[in-house]
Amino acid sequence: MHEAAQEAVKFIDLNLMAVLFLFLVGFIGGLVSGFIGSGGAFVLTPGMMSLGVPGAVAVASNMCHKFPKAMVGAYKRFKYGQVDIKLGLVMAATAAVGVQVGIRIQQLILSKWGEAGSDLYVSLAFVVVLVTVGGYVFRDARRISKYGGEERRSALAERLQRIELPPMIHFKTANLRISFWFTVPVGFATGMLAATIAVGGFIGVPGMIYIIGASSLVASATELVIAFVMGFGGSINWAIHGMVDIRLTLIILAGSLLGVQLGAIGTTMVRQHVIKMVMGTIMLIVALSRAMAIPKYVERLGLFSVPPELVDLLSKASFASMCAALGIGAAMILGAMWRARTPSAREPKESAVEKAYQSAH
Amino acid sequence: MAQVKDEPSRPVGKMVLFGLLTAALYGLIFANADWVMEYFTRGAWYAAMPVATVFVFSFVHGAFASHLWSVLGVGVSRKPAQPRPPKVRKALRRRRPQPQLRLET
Repeated sequence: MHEAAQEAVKFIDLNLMAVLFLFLVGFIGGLVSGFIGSGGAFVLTPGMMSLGVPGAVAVASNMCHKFPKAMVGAYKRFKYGQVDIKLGLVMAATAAVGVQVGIRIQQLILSKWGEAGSDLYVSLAFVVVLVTVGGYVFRDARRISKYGGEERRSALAERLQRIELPPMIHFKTANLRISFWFTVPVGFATGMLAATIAVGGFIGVPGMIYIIGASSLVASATELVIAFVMGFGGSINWAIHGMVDIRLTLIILAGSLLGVQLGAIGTTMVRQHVIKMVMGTIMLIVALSRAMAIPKYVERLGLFSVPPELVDLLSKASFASMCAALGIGAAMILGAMWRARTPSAREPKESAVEKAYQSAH
Repeated sequence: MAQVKDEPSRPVGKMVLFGLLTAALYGLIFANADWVMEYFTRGAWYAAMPVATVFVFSFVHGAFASHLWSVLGVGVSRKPAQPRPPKVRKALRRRRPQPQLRLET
């Protein structure tokens, strides 16, 4: 099987521009991953394909850089006491099942509606999930940033933690006790999303925060453990089929190992809601970017005709806004780290109520 | 990964050492890119080669990256943002006094 695949695969010749592009995107993707637990993959895969790398090789090489990056990031954040290994492993186990189901659904759609149908399904999944979840995360972060105060555990997570449904698991670092059965849908959805849009963390991190009840800090750090487990399994699978272009992987890794550690350091400097703010912003911009790609697939399926100039323009705008999502996320992280250099910036803001009380007295 | 402590001192020596090691590893792979690509993409058991390579790179380059940020003074706040919960020692089982037989003399 792999010999046949091998013959069909063409590995590209590298030039300086391609190397610089991969290194830079690797660094920025790593920075975002180290800070919010995932990200970068959605730019790297199409980015490599635009350099002429075949789709399968791009996915394989990207995944092969993802798991060591996640391992280094998780290790760094473990040293800061932010990683709940038990939660990561429990989530990864159910995520593995989710990945398999996600792949089956992809194959089913591919056989029924072809590549354009599959692309349309991926884009719709992107838009629906990211707008819903990203919008919620962003609103929550805005609320904390506007009215001050600290992160609180969500009411839903509080309620779920009170339900005694054996087996109950105590997660020490996340500092919570919850039934295993409530972690299953979150892990499963993370895997499903990872198999569909390659960024499981966009469900995993908010799921751990709002459903399981971990803090933003622990959720984003623990996501790196899940990414490592899933990426390791996936990379072995791709490598068995001879699809990993180690040169691309190592160039991206050169940048992303620098970025992931900087992102991890950043989490210790800023207030927790900044993690949500960065995550929500990136998710919403990526959703917009994928929405721009939808007309192209709709036209390919022959559902209705779109002028080719418009399709071309939207495709370019879609990729540009993908890069912008990552760039804006990175700028927000670096900006927050820069402002947090002074100790006073790390103190929680006074709430509006406290301010009003103080001005009245 | 190499054990790295976040300490206020700037580990310039370690950074240079791991930096040179990283550069040597990259040089080794890219100088023999044709040979590497031929063997690493053969699939089956050869899959161990790319996977082992990224592990080695992540240890060496990861250590270099860590030292680099320390040297550049991109520091960590003194108190960890997520303090580890204190370890709770299990209470010892209380031994209940058992009724004992006594001979009345």
